[in-house]
Amino acid sequence: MSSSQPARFDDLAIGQDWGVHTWIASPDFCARWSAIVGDVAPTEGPSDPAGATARPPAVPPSLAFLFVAEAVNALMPRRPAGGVHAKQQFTFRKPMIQGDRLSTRVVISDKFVRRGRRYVELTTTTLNQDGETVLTGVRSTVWAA
Amino acid sequence: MTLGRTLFVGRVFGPFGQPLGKGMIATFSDLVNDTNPVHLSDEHARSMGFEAAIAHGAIGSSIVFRMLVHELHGWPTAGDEVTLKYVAPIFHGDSIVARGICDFEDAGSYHLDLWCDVVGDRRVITAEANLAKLGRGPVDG
Repeated sequence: MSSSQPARFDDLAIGQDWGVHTWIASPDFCARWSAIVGDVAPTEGPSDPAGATARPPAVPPSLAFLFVAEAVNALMPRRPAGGVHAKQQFTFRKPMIQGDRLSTRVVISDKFVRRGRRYVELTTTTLNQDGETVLTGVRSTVWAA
Repeated sequence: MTLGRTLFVGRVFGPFGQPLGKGMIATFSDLVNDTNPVHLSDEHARSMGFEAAIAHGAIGSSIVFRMLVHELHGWPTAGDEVTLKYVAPIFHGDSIVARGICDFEDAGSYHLDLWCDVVGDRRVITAEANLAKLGRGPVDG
């Protein structure tokens, strides 16, 4: 499969691991994102039992759509024109904090044909700089060819 | 206990609205370095079978998340799960509105039925959320 050619449905296999893409949740980027989409950091960051230090702001949760999409686009071959993003599932595992280094692994977890449409499911797992899983997801795409 | 933190069956969310101007979508494209012409050119989008240029899925989806952040204090917490289905395209200039309701609970979580419509027209996103119960009930909140 040449990188210059779109990846066809038949080229993809369940279990294919496309590697890891890293994205930094910089406070500046989070602020610009919030200005565009209106999303804001959750009002409560991670707990601080000692209460001695200010809690750092969390990452606006809608940024998950962005950095996961960026990982998919960066790691996987080009998709044939005409496909659509059909479904997205996210499970939040731990707080994501502004400044975190978020690394997302993309794996093909399923592919199937239903009612004549080709579906590819990608499982994404995002870890922070400490190796903690902060977000998992399943992204379902209708593959055009 | 505050209502903003509390979940119970029957609690409604929204309406929470947002217009999607062309400037917003262009700025978004620039920010995420996404130059896919299906989002920026009506002509290209029509060649792909759409009526006009379509908004990025992330923009439409973000309004659902924004609603939860604003109306459910402290969201998200560990274990919260959200699933969204894109059932129709969102076009430049559409005004979209998100709504939802907590429709049932089980032993460990509250279930939310969520959706996003173009005002006065079509449904564009359907979604559901399973939110961890701990600390969110009317008694223990």
